[in-house]
Amino acid sequence: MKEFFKELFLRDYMSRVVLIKWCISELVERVAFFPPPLTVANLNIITRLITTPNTNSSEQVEFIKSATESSKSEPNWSNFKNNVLCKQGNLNEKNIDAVMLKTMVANKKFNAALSFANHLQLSNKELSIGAINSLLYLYYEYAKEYDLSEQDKAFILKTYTHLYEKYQVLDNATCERLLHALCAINEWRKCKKVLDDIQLTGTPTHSAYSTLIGTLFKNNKKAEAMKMIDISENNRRSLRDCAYDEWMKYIFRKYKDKKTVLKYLNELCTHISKNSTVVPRATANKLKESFESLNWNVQFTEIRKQSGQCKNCDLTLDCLRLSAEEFATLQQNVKDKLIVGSDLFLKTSPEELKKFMDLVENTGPYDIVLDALNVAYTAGKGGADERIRILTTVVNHFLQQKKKILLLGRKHMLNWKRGALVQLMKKTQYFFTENISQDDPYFITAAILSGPQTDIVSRDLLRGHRFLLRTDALRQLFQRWQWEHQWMVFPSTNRFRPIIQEPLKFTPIAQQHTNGWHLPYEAENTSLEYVNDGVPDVSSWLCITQKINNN
Amino acid sequence: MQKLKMIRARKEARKKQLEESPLEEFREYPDDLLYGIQYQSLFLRIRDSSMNMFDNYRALRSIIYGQSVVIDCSYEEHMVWRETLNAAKQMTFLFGDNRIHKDPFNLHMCNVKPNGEFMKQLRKNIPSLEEPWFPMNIHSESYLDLFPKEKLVYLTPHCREELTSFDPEAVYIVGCMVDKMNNEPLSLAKAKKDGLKMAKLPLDRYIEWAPGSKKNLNINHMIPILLDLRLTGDWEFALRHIPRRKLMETKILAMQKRFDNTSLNRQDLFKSFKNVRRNSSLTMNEKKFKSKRSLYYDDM
Repeated sequence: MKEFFKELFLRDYMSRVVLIKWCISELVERVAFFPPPLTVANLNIITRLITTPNTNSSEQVEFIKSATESSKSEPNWSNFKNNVLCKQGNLNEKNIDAVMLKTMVANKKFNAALSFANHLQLSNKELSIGAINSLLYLYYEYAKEYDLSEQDKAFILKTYTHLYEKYQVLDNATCERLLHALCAINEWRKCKKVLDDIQLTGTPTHSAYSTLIGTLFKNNKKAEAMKMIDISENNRRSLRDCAYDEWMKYIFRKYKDKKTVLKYLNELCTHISKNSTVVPRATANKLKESFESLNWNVQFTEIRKQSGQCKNCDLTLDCLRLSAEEFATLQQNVKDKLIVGSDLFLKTSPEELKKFMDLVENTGPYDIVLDALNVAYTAGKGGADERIRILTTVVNHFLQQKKKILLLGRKHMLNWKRGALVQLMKKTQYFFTENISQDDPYFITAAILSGPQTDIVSRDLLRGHRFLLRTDALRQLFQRWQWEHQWMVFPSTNRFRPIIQEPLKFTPIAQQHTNGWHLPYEAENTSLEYVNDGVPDVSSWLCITQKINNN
Repeated sequence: MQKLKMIRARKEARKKQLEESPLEEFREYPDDLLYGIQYQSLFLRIRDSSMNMFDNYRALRSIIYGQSVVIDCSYEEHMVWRETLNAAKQMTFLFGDNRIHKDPFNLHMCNVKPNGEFMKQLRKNIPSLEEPWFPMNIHSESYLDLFPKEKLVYLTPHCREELTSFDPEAVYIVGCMVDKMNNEPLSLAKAKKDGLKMAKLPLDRYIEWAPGSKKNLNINHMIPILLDLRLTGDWEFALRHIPRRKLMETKILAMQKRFDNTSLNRQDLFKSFKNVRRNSSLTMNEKKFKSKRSLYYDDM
């Protein structure tokens, strides 16, 4: 029985940890945050049933939701509030206005919300800042689908001045709501001050930047919008659908000549490609409509991973190799950031580093650098024999192609089957780090310092190491280098022949070719089922080609 | 005028309440003797300060005859202010636990910054810290200057060699840091830099650890463990100082409790238990979890 509970606890813990890890990895890689789908199999039913906490606190919220469900004409709001307060829960007099409005808006009960807003404004009590936030939220959401009345617009402006008189500096949440509301009434000039206030405490959200950019385009302020786009990208906030949407609408509004429209649409696509972003699905649809209105051919397509060919037009995507200067910047930065960091002793020791640098300088440029531990452990549960066998297979595979190999591992590997390992070591260069030092930064540094033709062999996605190169530009360069040079070894059903996967022959970012574009977009539901092997989704791309006029 | 009257009335009421309430009997332990005018007792009262002086005597004796243990306070720049406060608090506990023990250590604090936040807080906690009679040694120099290098052993959770038995001739070094936010192996780096022997406690051999809790122990757990180890040589007895929340037993008990408290139908749950047993073939994701579990158990 005890074992059972332990199993139960571990599953519950692991499911939560995996969800959190997944969320974090998604955040790191795409800066777009989807709540993880709860229907995924990894939530064991029992743990879910047992660990659901007592939901007494939402009794009040449930009541609010159900009461506003029926679209009656205005109920008596003070009675309603009293009813809610009588129930059990977290709401008290101070936060009830805010929470009521928020719930109503979240469930899109605009009529009820507006009537409550009216009631609040007519009563002479001072509105709490939470209530003000919720009101601004209501007006922003309402303005998305309907038009605001003059009264509401006046309220927003009044609130802006009132808030800044009362509090010289506003908090993050209020600023966000205020920014959205101001954008809803096209007051983009005031938004600048609000944006600065947000930056006092943190980075503004995607929604904040994109709404502001959208408003700037709506008001035909292209230069400002482009500046704001740069700021947004520099703060690692890729654009949301609303920004792209307004951009396209602006292009179509301003330019009537087909050629000019095309030129500016190309500008949009260049922006996507330059920042290596992935557009949201809705934007992909709108892009499709836009290009089709100009008589171009647009298809949803997939890219074949092995060849980089588009399934639609059979053109191969280019492999954007790193230029000499870009590679040189990588070389200058890699040793300092990956191995030394803040303290050399955290990952290794000075003697080890010196020995390593001597080895690299003396034995010169390599063709392949193997992360020996990673390759060996594709054997998984097998013993030392299995591991040595896989290592030998991989090494022989490369030796057949007459490549110069560097093997990088840890000293405990010498305790595996010594004979076989020594045989391997005769055929290659090798370096073994101490057991308490990290070996990963070493093999990456060896490969990069060795030159632009060196490849690495490792299944590791190297995300932690990529993060340590502090700037976004360096990280992009590292990612492209990885795509170009990383071989991966996978276990296969045949124990003696593991799958050795080549590096990508193409670069999976948005690309232009003579006749059009290939753009990636975000797929709807990224399932947890697929194994992340470092390549972005190849199954959701747009193939945009110019129609060849036959007449 | 009204307000003043109200305040005065309230004060008087409170005074009356205090006088009329029965005197509270405060016992620290249930079988303590009560001293006071109403109570009779045969024995002279031994107050806290005399108990402290008695313990101080034992601690001072250990300075002359006992084994030295070093507490390395050089991690202040890696700690946030809140963590420094916590470290000072743990230090106070540590000092208390040490002198209460039957056979205390001779504590040395090394690499101390005299005007840093940590020392300021420690002086607030223990006002008599720098008195000449206080049984703790505070040095600004490093332990390398005070002790011969061969005797020093740095205790860090990030290395591979385990401490098999307690060596009464060795001088053990414990890092005084609270590293809730920092994940780097700082103590390992320090030990490597100074070229010292390193060791970690053989926790996995005697205790089942729950996943999700780090194996870095607080200093006010480490020193009692070392004290008990030196006294008895018995690891099980020494490791009883580890807080229960880190261990698997508590998690199992918690799971049991939750299961008991759930309002669901027992029958349905038991049915699903059977399914759990039967589905020994794990799905792909579950296999992934299983293989990754080792990542959470192993600290490296």
